[in-house]
Amino acid sequence: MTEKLASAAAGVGQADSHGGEHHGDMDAIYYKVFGALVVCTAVSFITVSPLWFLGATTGHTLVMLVAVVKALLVAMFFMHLKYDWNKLYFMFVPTLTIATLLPCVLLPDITFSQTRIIHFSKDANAGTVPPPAAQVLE
Amino acid sequence: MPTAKLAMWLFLGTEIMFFAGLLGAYIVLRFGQAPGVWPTPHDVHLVEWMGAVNTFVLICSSVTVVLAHSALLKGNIGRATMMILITLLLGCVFLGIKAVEYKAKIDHHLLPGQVRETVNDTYLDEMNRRVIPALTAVPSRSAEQNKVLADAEAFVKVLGSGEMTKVAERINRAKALHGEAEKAFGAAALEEVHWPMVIPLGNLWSSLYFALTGIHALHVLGGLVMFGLLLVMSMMSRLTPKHDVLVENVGLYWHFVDLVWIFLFPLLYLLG
Repeated sequence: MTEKLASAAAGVGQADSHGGEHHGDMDAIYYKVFGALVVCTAVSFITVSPLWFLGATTGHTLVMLVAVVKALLVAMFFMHLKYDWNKLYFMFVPTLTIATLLPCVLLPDITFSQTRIIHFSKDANAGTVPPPAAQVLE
Repeated sequence: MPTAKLAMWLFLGTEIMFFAGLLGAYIVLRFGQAPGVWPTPHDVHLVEWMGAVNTFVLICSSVTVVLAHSALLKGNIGRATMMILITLLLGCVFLGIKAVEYKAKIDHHLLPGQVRETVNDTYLDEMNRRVIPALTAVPSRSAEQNKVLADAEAFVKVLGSGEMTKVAERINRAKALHGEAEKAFGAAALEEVHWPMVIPLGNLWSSLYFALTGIHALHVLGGLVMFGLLLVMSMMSRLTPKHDVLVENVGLYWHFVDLVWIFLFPLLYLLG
C-alpha cells in the first residue's frame, strides 16, 4: 500500500509525453466502446417502450445498472482511468465513496417519509389532497 | 502524469461532489414522495426519445474528442481539427435539442412557481376569468341559460368556500357544468375556456429539472467554448502534437459532462 502510494506520488507531476506512449493505438477500442454505449442506451430506452414486458421495477433496476455500466465504460476507456488508475486511485476512492454515501445518508428521509405517505394515502382517500397529475377537461 | 492533467482530475473531483449533491437532492425529493404522485414524463412534456437522442449525441461527441486526441498524438493535425469541429457541432446539437425541450416547458408554463398544483385554485381562477364572463356576456338569456349561470355562480361560491373537499367531486362538477353550459349556450361561447393541467408537485419537479439540466447545459456551454478556443488555435496553426495534454484535459472535462448526462437521462426521463 505504501509502495503504491509512493509510486502514485512519483507518477504525479511528471511531465512525460504520456498519451500514445503507454496507451498504444486506442482507436479500435474507442469504436468498440462506442458500440457498447449505443447498445446500452438502446437497452435503457426499450424499458420505457411498449416492447418491455418485465415490469417497472425490473426496468428501473436495469436502467440504473446500464447507467453504471455506461459510466464505467466512459471513465475506464475514454477518460483512460483503466491506465491511470494506479496514479489516481488515492483521489478517486474517497471522492466516489463520499459521492455514493451522500444520497445514502439521505435515505432515512425517504424511509421516514413512508409515515407521511400513509397519512397522504388516508387524506387522498378522504379527497383532501389532489390526485396524481391528470389532464381535466380539454 | 502531467501536472495539468492531475489538476484537471482534481477539478473533476470537485465536480463529482457538486453533482453528487444535486443528484442526491433529486433522488431524495423524487423517491421520498408517495407512489403515483410525482409527475410522469408525459405530464410535464418530457419526451423520452429526445433524451435518448441527446444521449446518443453526447456519446458520439465523446468518441470524436478521443479520436481528436488520438489523431493529435499521431501528428495528424487536420484530422484532429476535424474531430474537434465535429465535437463542437454535436455539442451545439445537444444544446439545440435542450432548447426545444425548454421551449415546450415554457409554452406550457412548466416553470418554477408557475405550475398549478391544486384543483381549487385552478378551477376557481378559470371559473372567474373565463366561464362566468362568457355566460354573462349573453344579453338575453333563456330560463335554461339562467339556470346554468346560477349553477356556475353557485359552483364558484362552493370552490371559494372550500366546502367541496373531494377532488373528484370538484372535477366531476366542473365537467358536468361545462357540458350543461355548452348545451345551453353553444360550444362557441366556451371555446376560450381551458381547464388547465393540474400537476401536484409540479413546481418541485420544475425547480429540480431546470436546476439539474440547466447547470449541466452550462457545463456543455463551457466545453463548447474550450473546443472553440482549440479550433482558433488550429486555425492559427498553433495546435501541435505538443498540445496533447491540453486536448486530453478538454476531453476529460467533456467526458465528465457526458457522464453526468448518463445519469440524468434515466433519472429524469426513464424513471418517471
